Amino acid sequence: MIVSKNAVKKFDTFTAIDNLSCTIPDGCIYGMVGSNGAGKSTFLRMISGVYRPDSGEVTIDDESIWENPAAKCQIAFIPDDVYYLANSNMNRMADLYSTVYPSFDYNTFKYLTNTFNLDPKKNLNSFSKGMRRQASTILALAARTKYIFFDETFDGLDPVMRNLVKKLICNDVVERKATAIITSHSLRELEDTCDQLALLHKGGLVLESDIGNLKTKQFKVQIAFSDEYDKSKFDGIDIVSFHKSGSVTNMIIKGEREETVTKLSMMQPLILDVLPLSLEEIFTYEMEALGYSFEGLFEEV
Amino acid sequence: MKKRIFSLKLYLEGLRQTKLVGIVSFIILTIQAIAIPVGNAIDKISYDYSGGARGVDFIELNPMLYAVIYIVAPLLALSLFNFLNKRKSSDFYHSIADTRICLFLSYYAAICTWIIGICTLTTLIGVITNSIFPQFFTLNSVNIWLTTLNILAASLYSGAAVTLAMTLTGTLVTNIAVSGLILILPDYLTFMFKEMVMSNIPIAPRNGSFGDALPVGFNFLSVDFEISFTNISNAIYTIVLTLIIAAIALVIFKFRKSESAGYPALNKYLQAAIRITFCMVVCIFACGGIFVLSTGLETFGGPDIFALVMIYIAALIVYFLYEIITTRKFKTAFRTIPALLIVVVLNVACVLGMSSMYNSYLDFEPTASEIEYITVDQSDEYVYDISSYLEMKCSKIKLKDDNIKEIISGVLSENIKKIHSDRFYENFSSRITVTICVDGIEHQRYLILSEENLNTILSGLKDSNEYKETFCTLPDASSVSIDTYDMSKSISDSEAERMYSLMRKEVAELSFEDWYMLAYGNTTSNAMSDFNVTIIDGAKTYDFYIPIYTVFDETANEFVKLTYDKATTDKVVELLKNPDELEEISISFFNATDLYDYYYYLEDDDKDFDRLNKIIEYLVPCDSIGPDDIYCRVNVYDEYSMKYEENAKYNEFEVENYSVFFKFTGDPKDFIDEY
Repeated sequence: MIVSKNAVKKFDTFTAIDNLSCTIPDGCIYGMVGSNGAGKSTFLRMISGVYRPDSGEVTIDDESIWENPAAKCQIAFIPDDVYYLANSNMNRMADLYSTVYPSFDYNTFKYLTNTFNLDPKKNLNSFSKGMRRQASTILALAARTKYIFFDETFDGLDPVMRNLVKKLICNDVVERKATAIITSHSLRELEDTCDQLALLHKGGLVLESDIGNLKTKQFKVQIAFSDEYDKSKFDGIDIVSFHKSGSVTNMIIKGEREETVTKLSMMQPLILDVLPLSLEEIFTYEMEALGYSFEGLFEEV
Repeated sequence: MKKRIFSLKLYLEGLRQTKLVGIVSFIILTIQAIAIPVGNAIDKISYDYSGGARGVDFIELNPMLYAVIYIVAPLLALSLFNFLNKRKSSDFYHSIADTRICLFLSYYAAICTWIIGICTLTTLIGVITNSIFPQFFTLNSVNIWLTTLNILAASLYSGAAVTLAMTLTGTLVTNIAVSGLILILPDYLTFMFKEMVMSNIPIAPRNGSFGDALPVGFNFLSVDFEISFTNISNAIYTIVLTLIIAAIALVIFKFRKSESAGYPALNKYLQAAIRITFCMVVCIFACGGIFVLSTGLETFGGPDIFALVMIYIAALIVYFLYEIITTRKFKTAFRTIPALLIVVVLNVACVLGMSSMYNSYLDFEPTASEIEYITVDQSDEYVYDISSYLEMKCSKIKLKDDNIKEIISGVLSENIKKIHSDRFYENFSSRITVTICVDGIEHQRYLILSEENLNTILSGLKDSNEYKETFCTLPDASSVSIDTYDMSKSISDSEAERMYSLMRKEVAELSFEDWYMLAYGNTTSNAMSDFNVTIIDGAKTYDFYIPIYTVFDETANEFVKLTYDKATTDKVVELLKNPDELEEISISFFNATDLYDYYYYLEDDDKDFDRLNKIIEYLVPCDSIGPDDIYCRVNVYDEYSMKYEENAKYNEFEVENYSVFFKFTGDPKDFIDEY
């Protein structure tokens, strides 16, 4: 289990992680989303032992990660910009990974290399961006660590490869009870892969929930009344977003769906439509609520 | 998984990542270690060399090994720790399941392994290859292995210094710049500081050079490898320094943040320190100028002030340029302006330091009673013959004569007074380099003195028994040979050694005055041939010739005996009777009391057979000579052919040469006068 308690990480005057606390249980796929500069990559580097928190602590199985080989040997981290030795091929990189990861498995490496149809003897410089991503995924999965952290892993992968990588991650989690953390801007990718999702903003965790819960606890309501009304009519309902145009209002509501619909029905609206939200919409509305929106910019223009 | 300080796997990975640099260097150095002795041996064999074994120092065995210090070790460190310069590689290595100490030590051990392997194995290969030709080469093992040890230590040091620079900085440009600072700066600043002061003190001996400013230790830009690299204390000092540098690098590496990769320095304070240091490298020249100005040693004119201003402008350019180049931002340069105050303070400190050193140097004015002893150094910088070798030995003789102490004390006081009154070079006559020992500390001074005082001191030196004894003692030689290429019979090395022992005895029996004249070549005595002597004195090797003068009866007689060959003598007599067949004849006359030094030549265009026939009448074949005998050496060339290759690229001479000794029963003057 990965635990972050009030972790803070600063770069000069910029605070990349600001008092972040979260708990990531074993055996799950944990998705992290957030705006650019939210601190996703910094968080992964912190729980990989690359960065040391300026204050607070991050632990894996109750052990500090920083300078702790016992904890770090359980972690494979694939950053957004993967490191390869100069003029190396996958076989050479496998040798390097076997040096630094005690559990590295050459059979898995060979199996995955065949699966991805990559030539392990070919110079990695001649690989495309997507192929280099595949190579890094193969190396990380072959490391057979308990924790695998993927930073923007799906970037540059074609849809077929994306599905393959997702399946492999899921298999790893199921078969070996591994724990994966995936950061991505593509919420659709995380939607059908992750068990849990966290939303980071300005170095802090603003939302953490399992996917099912997230989808059922937030929904979109289109409602209209014959008489004049404003937002106060809906006091007692947790409204994330409220847009009124004439007599029709579009709202994003957080809470128990059945209970809220019953409440709204009792107001005898002219129209009442309840629509499910995609993760992308949830992300956008949450960020909008935090002031991360550029819609006003275009409205002014 | 336990915390460990060394990982075999990481170590092997480090060796693997540096194998290109390591293997290429090893191959190149191995080729030269084999090629040099083999090439020299082939050369000697092809020219039918018979001069005996020559002393081989490190410099003739594995000279390119110095490249390990300057190229290989820095390249190894730069290539292996290059991951610290890029964020993604730095992150990777900081995420691996080992402590930073373990990573550093394992990788640094890989660098050390290559350095140790390259240094020791290539020297060993050179030693083995040289040993195949014992007839040509006598190895100075002390020099060879001591120099190898020093180069090894220096290479480890340069590797550690570059590694330290890489832990302090995060870009290739700053890696190299800071490496240069670490390696050169201590010596540079010490030298410049001393030079600025000493060059303004006319009694300071001017034998310093850039590179040997520090008393001991490895000097990255040392020009005098033979001195600094054959000293065991240098090697030990350098290894200790290497350990300290490596330990500092380890500590910094442990606390270094991965995010420092790509930045010129770990933090802004370090960046400022590096920038100021570079600026001071230039400022030191201006400090020297201001020091001279402040002490009133020279009057400054407009051009000097202009030069000072230009130096400070250059220093400012360096200051800002470093910041701009390393940060690639112009605006950061302006933010560094306040730190220039530190540069000002350092300049003031430098000038004050120079003044203090200057005054302290001139305050040394001991009385005769305070002086423990004096040594006089008349030796040349290099030993090139027997007299320079013996003078070098005599320069260590301690003179304790009260009169000499009085003279030196007085001369020193007078010199200092003249410096203060700016009349130093007035009535300039002679100079002498002396070492004055007071309270166990030796102070070297280069004094101006009168001819009379100089003669008194030198007479005092030469009159001392220690000087005479030292000068009249030929050194123990590690190898002796005699070049007998023109004699009909060669002298083996063991025979040469026996002859050398004989001459050592004869030199010891000779009066000091006579030997002194002979050693300096001030004699009319003929040299029959030369001893080629190799002396290994600790780590130093000296190779020079000692003439076999005819005045050394026993040695000269032994030479005649050993080179006598009846068949050749008969052949020469026969040839002299038929001079038409001869191309060239030369006859030189000797006797033990060095009366004769004449040569008689008969060449193609000037054949004087009448005179030759008269000379032949007085020639008596002999295999030994007595002290009163007149004898001559006859060289005969009976064939002189020149072969031209068809393509005329080169030609080759084949000369049949006979050289033998005869007793001469006539008076050589009769024949020479006629000539």
